[in-house]
Amino acid sequence: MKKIIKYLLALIIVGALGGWFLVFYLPKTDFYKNITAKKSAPTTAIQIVNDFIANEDSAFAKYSGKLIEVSGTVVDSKIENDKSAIYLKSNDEATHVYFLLKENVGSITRGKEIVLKGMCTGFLGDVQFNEGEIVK
Amino acid sequence: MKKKYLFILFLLVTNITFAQKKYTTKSGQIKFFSNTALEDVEATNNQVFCSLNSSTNKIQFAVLIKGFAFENSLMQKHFNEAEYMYSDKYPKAIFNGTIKNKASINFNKAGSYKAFVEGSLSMHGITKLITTEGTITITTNKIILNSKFNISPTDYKIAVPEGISNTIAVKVDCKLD
Repeated sequence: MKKIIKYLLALIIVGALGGWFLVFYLPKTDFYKNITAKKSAPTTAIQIVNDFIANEDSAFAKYSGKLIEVSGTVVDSKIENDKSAIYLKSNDEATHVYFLLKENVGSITRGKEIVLKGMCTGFLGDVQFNEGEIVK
Repeated sequence: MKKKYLFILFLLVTNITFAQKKYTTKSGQIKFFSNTALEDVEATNNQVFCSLNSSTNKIQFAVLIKGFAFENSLMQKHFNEAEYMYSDKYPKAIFNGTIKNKASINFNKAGSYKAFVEGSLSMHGITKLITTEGTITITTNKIILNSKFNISPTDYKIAVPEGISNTIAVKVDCKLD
């Protein structure tokens, strides 16, 4: 009888720890973000801006909320709220792809060809990405 | 004689152009916060568009709902779902307001000024009139806006999960060039 109680207690403790891990700990990790994020095929800054300018609604449905790799030419980079912000060139002079990175990686040389990965959040003057990181 | 009038007109137009200054940023910050018994709800958006026209006293904020980052990704997923913000259908929140006490703010003199702002906040397909007070700090090359106000999600027909208060504290911080 005592053994059964011991096993039950152990099961409850393991269950409680497992529940805490799944509900409170795991969702705060990058691992969870990476496995739950919807992904989209790699694209270019020129293509994604063209798509949003041509039809904002359909481009929003295609790209927003998805983890996407975007390649392009750096037109500007600055530090905003202790994180690196990188602007990629498009064919429209007034519109860029605006990546806010997860961390401060210092300044990036203008004109550099770069590949960035991040979560597309939509279009607000520029095509915005957050949670960004440099792929190469 | 005509030349003289043209010159005066030129000076007048130039003066008006210089007096009308529009300050903008794409990297303003909006945070919101709510206490719950189980876990605090807190999210930040660091890609807020903000503009201030010191001539017309108009202020505009615009933000993408999907740009709000939570520490807890599961909470962020729920926040964007159809039951709550429904960001696939309503991707932006926009505030258009006017500074009501413009006489007490001198945009040409460095200092910190209290500002009373009234305007319309649109999100989740609903537009509501809100009034708030904040601080406008004027430096030699920047204008800094800070404001804190409360909103009620139910005013915007946004469901409130059980255990979460219907009052959400919102904090806005923008540095405009």
